Amino acid sequence: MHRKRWTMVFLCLVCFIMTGCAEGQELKYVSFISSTGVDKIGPRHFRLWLVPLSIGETGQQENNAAKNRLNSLIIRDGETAFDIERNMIRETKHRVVFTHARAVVVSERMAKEDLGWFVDTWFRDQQPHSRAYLFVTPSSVKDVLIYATWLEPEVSFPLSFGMENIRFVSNYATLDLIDCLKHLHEPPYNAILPMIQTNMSKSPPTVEYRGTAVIRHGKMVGSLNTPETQGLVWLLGLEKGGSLQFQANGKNTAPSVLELGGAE
Amino acid sequence: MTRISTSLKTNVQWLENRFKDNSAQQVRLVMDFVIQGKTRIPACWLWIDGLIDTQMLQQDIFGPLGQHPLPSNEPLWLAVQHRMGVKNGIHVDQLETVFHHVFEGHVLLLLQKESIALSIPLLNSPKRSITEPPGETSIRGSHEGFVESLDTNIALIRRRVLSSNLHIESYLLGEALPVTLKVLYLNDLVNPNMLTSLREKIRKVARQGTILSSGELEQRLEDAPYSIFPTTGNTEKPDKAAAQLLEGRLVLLLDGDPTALYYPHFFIESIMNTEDYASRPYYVSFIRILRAASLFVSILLPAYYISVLEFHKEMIPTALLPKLHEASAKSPFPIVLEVLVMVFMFEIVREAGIRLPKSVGSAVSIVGALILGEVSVDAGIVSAPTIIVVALSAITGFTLTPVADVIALLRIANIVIASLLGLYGVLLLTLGVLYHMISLTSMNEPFMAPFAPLYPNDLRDGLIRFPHQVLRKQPHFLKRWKIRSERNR
Repeated sequence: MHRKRWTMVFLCLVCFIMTGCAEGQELKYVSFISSTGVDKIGPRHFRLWLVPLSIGETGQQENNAAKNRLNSLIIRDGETAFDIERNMIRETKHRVVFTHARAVVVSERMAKEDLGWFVDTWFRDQQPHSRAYLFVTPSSVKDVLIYATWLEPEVSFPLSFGMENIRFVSNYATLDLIDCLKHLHEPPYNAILPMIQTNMSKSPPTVEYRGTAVIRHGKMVGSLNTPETQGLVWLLGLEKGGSLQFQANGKNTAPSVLELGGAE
Repeated sequence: MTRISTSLKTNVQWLENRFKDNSAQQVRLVMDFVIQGKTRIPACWLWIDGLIDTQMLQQDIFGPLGQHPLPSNEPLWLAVQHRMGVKNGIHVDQLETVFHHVFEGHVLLLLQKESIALSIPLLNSPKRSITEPPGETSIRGSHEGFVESLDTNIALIRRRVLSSNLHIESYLLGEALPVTLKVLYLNDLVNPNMLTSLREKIRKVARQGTILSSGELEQRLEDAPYSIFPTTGNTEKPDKAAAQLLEGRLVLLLDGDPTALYYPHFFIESIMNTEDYASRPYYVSFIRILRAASLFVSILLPAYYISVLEFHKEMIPTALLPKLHEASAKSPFPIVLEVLVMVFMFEIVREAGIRLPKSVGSAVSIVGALILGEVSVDAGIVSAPTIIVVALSAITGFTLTPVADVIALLRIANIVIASLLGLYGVLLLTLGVLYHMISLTSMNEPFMAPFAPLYPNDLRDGLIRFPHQVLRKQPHFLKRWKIRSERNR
């Protein structure tokens, strides 16, 4: 009986050490990253843009949010995301937590050259949220992170909530990080990612969902416009039901409407 | 033990010696005569002023005995009893018994050449009227509650259990200041092993010293006296006590205490109410599930809050994070300290509210609510989410008043372990508590029945109450006893 009891105590202790439960930290001593941006600035050299969750701004007027956000951006360069984060922890007293970063904005250059490798190593470090949305942008990553905030105080929220809202609209591809990685590591090793870009003609500038990036073997190989995305979504069977308008045999013919039923 | 002597002088001397240190008790030892025929028989009356009904003593005892001589053709004791207006006198033959009966409000009569004394109960101590117990109020059903008088309490039960099988055993607990304990049970339903076990325990307790309250008695009778869980049921309602008797349980009534104890008591009964059986089963089942959920919320919510904020931040909903982060940043204290301070503040306010008179108690509650709530948040001492969590935990605890003290202790223990080990610690403690609860027994019956061990049929009156048509009238422990006894035949 005593042996069993001591075995139980020993097992509890082992579990306690393994779970790392003793590493608790006060919420106020932690910086939550609400969204991240990644750009490639040279061969195997990346720039990470981090937007920490702002304290005390949630009740402020939205007009000031973009200005404030500019001051809150953390920019660090390094060879991998893990490397950058580790250095950041050393530099700052506050621990940086990525568990609530629901939006990851990747530049088009980065997507074309190193997307698969970068995301894969980052995800293995268990830092980003597996249900975070990965966006590819041809615009400046910094601009996207700044102007995405004019409606909401946090960058992550308008981007991720927007994706949640358009999830059931067939015009857009809505894949999150875990789905993207799954597609990249399973045959035929292709994935699609939503694209966003800034519209500077509006005042204030806005960030719009526009098109889809096609990823093959971990690199962006092309992009689709909105009607093409709609067709792709339909072909992949992600959209069930509804109707599809298309023109067959050139522009002279009348547009046809195809009624979609079920998964067919 | 000293037997009553035939010499009245010896008896009086013995009693005077015993009472010489009790001058403050207003003991009256009156030497008198009883006249039978033409013979004057020396007699001694004994009582305590203020404890007996003196009007009855004059009218029904002294009056009839003093008017005419007793007939000489009848035995003396018979003649005395025939003449008196009070017929419930009993004969005692021990001087110690005489001594105890005097303190119980009896009038004692000792006669020359008689080795027995007549003890006439004339107790007239102040009595509280029957009112509804404040801790067990009901909307539907009986509103009667037990009082401090043992006779009244037994009468309240007898009125509901009109059965010749209702047995009442009497015990005197303690030697210096004995208190009467009555054990009630239905002879045809009670488990004899349980009864034997209780008798043995009571005999042990009787030797240990004076028992002043049912709470003390319960702690001395329990199978696991060091546990934080009470394995003794208690009620102040006679209808509930009668219901326990009808299920084959043992009910204990202590003189001077309005709380009846009953055995066995199961943990599931903490979420039950007498009124549950008077209402429709559907709403009752809903309320019981709500009470069970309240138990978990009350114990675990503050610990869960600390664990999530300190150790498992990924579990915080993203939409809630900015507000929580902001609230945490504004507070100068660690979250554990915030929660602990608020929990202790709440316990202090509750204790003050209970102990103080009602008019002052409500004022304390208002001040407490203001301090605990708005002012402490405005002053930036604690964060608003902490107030919400502690308040919710406290309010849910009120739905389970029978185990409110256990909930308060477990809540604090969980908070402490959550601050050290996070959810893993909470899980460990919860498993430990469950292990302890499963090992508990109440008069040798498993405390966690009908869940552990599982009695499927008893689950009909567990978290969900089935309609009366399909409800088992007696719990499994009774049925098991019946099966055993039938096999033995």
